[in-house]
Order: sequence, then C-alpha cells, then structure tokens
Amino acid sequence: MTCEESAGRMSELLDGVPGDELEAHLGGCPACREGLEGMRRADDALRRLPPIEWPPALTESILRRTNRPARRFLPIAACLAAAAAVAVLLLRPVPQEPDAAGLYAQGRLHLDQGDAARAIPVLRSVVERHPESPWADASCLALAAHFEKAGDDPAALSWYTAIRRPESITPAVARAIQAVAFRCDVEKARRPVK
Amino acid sequence: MLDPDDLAMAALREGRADRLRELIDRHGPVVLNFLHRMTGDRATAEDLSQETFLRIYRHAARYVPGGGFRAWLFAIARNLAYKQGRKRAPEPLAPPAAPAPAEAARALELQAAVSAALDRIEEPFRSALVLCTVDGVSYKEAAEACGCSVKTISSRLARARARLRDLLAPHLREDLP
Repeated sequence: MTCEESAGRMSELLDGVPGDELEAHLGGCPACREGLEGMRRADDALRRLPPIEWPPALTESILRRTNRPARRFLPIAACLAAAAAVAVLLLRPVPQEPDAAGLYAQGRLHLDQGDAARAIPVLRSVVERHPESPWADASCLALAAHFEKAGDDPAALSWYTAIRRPESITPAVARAIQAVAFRCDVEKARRPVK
Repeated sequence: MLDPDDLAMAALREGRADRLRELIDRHGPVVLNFLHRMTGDRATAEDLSQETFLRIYRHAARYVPGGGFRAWLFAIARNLAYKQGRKRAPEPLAPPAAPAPAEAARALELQAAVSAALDRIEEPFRSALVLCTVDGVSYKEAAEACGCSVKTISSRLARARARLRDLLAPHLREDLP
C-alpha cells in the first residue's frame, strides 16, 4: 500500500473499519502514522466543541406555529379556490375514505385506548385494502403484539407471518416471532393425539 | 417494538400536532447542534431548527415509514443549512498565541480555531464531517440524508477530516501545553 492509498483509508480506520493492509503500512511509515494521529486529534477537537442547549421556548414557538396557516395573507384567488374546494368536499355524497396511514393511526389510537374490538377490524382493513403499503406491516405488527400480549399465540403468529416487507423484520421482531413460534410448537406437542 | 418516530409521524399525518413535541424532545438538541456547526451562528441554528420541525409537520404525508426518520430529518435540516450557507465570513486562522496560554485559554482558542476551520470546509464535505463525526450518524443514514451513496460519504468524510487536520495542525501540536 502506498502513502496516497493509506491517506484515503485513514478515515475509515478512525470509524473502526478494520484494515490489515493499512495497519501494516502504518507500522512502517512514521509520516502516515503522524497523519493518522493528527486526524484523530482534529476529530477529538471537533467533538469537544461545547454543545448548545435546546431552549424550551423554541418547542412552544414551533407548536404555536403549527396552529397557524403557513401564510398570513392569502391572495383573493387562493381564498376563492379554497372556498370552492371546501364546498366541493362538503357537497360530496360519500365521505372520503382515509388512506392506509389514516386507518393505521385510527387503529393504533383504539389499541392505545384499550379498545381492541374497534382496533382489530380497522387494522385488519389496512392489511386487506393496502397490502403493498408499509402501514400494512405496521398493522400486522400492532395486531401481533396485541394478540401476544393477550396470550393468543396462534393469532399472534398468524399476524407475524403476514408481514410482507423483509425490512420490517427487525432483529427484535425476529426474536419475538421465534418465541411465539416456539410456544405454539410446545402447545401443539402437548395436545393429545386423536 | 414499532419505531416510535414512525408512530409519531402517523399521528402527525392525522393532524395531531401535539405529537410533534415528542419528536422535538427526542431529536431537537441534536438537530440544533448540527445546524449550529453547519451555520456557525446560534440564532440562525435556532431559526432553522424551528423551520426543520415545521416542515416535518407540514410534509408528514410525504414520509415513508420504515425506520428512516433520522435520515429524513437530517436531509431537511441539511438542505435548510445549505440554502442558508455559513453566516459568518471565514475568519483568518490565527497562529497559537505565544507564550503558551493557560489551559482554559488554550481550550477556548482551540474551540475558536475549530469553528473557523469549519467555515473553511466547503459543502458537501462539511455536512459529512459534522453528521458522522459529531452527531454519530451512520454512513448509511448520512448517505440517505445527503442523497448520495455510502461510498461517496466515506470519501467526502476522508477529505473533510484531512482538511480539518491540516487547518488545525498549528493548534494541535504535541509540544503545545
């Protein structure tokens, strides 16, 4: 490895990326060792810049602004367009159906309030109507967690296995699935054979 | 088990603005410090932090859940910082004072030198440096926030670190007290 190549890899070494070839080069090159040490010190100096505190008043200011319209003065044409849009919405014979995120939020709210009877059909509808949406997996997870907590492992397992997106299976989810599947197997083994 | 940021974002989509407080409590200080280092000015950093969280609220419908909230948050903050630019004009890098100052004075001098060095590191290298070195953001998250590949982030970070080292060299000599 040349000194030029070594310079390009030093940063990764600082972040813990192992590099046998680089370390071998550093062992025999005082100039590169000094370069790496300088980089480490500069990193430390940057990290030691004193942090500034988040002012609590800033939070309140942000929350107050969420209650305000984005613009203070709307042009007349925009006001007329907005009024027309409201009129169209009010005159619609059928109310607009909430999207996957809206349904999921509704379902979660019912679950948080302990109203499983209302939550389950809503979350189930997200999975059935919007199977491709990431909210479908979120609904599966919410339902699985609910049934697992209620001690209904077969139902929990069926919702876990309904998850479609691989990225939704985090290590924690994978461990939960394994645990539920294990309990289901044990329960099956206990049943008397007819 | 579910990502708490994803849950808060789902509530924001429903217009429950109160859930924004939870996101601010969790991420506000990191965003503020990121913007402070990016802009070099506290008042600007506070204004941009405010704007960042308001954009999160207003554009909640665009957020795709899946655990990538932090990258999305930093992408918004970085774009705002990029448009704003560094507020201060780069200050000249003064040589270390001689005779050797006291420890506290030297620490302050080093802080000033680091801040002045950040002024001199151009975008997109500065955001890679601040995100990965100070804010502890992974290469993957930083790549998502900056809209580039992990390899590009790694190379920008290497250049930024080398530049920072060279700019701070007179202040980081071992022989200084």
